[in-house]
Amino acid sequence: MEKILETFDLTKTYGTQNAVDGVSMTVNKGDIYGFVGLNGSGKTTLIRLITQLVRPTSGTFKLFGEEFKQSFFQSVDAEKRISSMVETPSIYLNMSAVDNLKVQCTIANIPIADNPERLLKLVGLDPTSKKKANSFSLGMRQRLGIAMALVVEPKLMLLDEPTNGLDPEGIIEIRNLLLHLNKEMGITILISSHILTELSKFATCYGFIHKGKLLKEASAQEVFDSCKTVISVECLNAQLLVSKLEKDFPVQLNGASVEVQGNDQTMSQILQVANDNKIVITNINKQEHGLEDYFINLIKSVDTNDTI
Amino acid sequence: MKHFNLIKADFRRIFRGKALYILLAVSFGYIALMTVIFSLIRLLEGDSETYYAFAQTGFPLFLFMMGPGIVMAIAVSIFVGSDYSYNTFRNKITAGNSREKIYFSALTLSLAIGAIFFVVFYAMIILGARIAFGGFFFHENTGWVFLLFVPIYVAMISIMVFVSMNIKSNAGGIVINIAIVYGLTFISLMVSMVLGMLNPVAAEAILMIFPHSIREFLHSNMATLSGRNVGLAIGISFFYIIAATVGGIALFRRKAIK
Repeated sequence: MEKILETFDLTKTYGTQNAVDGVSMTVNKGDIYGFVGLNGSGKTTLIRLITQLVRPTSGTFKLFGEEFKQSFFQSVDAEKRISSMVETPSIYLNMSAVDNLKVQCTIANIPIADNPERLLKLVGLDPTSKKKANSFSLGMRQRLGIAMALVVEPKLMLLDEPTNGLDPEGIIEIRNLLLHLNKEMGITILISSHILTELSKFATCYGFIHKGKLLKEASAQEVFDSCKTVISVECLNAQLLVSKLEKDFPVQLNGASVEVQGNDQTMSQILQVANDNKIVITNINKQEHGLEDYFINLIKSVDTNDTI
Repeated sequence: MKHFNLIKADFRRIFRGKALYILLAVSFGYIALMTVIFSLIRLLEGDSETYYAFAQTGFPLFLFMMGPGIVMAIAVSIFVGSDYSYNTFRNKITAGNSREKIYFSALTLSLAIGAIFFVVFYAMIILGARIAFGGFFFHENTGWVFLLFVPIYVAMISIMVFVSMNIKSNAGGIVINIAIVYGLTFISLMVSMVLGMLNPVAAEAILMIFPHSIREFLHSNMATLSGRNVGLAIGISFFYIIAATVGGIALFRRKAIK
């Protein structure tokens, strides 16, 4: 698999604080790489390091298999272009969307032609509107920010919290747009977020960062496989139910309730076993452990080890 | 033309915005108001000696209060600082432009804007003086003084760009840049007074590099425009230009952009 971005022991220190601490990560071509971490964990700093907004204290990174060069940000080589949107979109609020894009085309040495109108249509903004960006909603600004990032027709986009502050409809729109960019336009995307339920809907792999350190990288499938569905059953003869289920499922007795790991079909299978053995169930519920639990468990284990 | 893309983009946004035109209108309005006031005084007082004494101190004094330096300080702070307030420096950096190129683009833009205000402001002053007093009341070497203003203003704008490129607050940039216009004038007067006791030529030269020195407006003593002190004034201006630009780039290169 072609590696688009690799960082090697990338570190950024502010005073005595390591904002990014020896991060080595890999983003492959075609990925939607979900960069997961709490607020202040180092997500934004890492993106700012890659985009040269801040300089690393130590460590290096490769883009498109080559050591970093300023030309990666330029429109010279169509196959090696990157772009970014860091936190809030960088737009001139006193100008219209079209004028913002015209200025960005000029800054990036891209012919203006019909680019602004085409990009605005792509992100769902009205290309004929003369409205100044300061009257845009947050969602419109985010979409304009993405259009600005698309000016260079990038092969890698680095997006820092692009859905921050958006309403549910806006979040869905941005998600669909990013999926379109990834699937239809072949753009590899690194997206940081702490809205994990949203991220889990489209990320193909994850990097988990905590206190500046990259804890783990995993594919979406690996994370999915690790995420458990636990069915908790309260019944009159818990011991009997455990003995009947333990052949087919990972099961344990937790006080008076039986906890069974499984999937969506497991619940009906438990009910069938209970019925066959005349076990009276007084309560049954399903707890899904998703990406959020996976991440929380991951950082808990690290914090516990740190304390020890 | 690839290397001029930033300058082109900066001009595009400045001319599309309202700030430039508002500042030009304010400059025009201010001088027009001064012209009207002094014309009225002349009308009431007639061509008396008292009037001329008043005109020769009052008119320059009001010009000094809001000379082109002040307008330039505001304009440079707004136009350069807007890249901080809109966080748009990062668009320039992530579009592959080096920080040196970004700095030079801001300097070029500021110099161009400075030139616009310089021409407009002084053209209006001369016109205003003609209307109010029947002519520009300075001396026969005024043209040379204006020419000398060029390196002086370039120096002043270089310092303003240094400030605006390295201070994230727009308002802070305006305050500091205005303080520079007045502060350097005050400092130059002080330095000139001290130096004057030791080396009168250097003292004159230092005084000359600050166009807002009321003295330039009040006195028509062209003895100060000798070859030696003009050369020294230009030399000092170039020192400011180079020091501010080299220092500004060095700081901006290290600056973390939000």
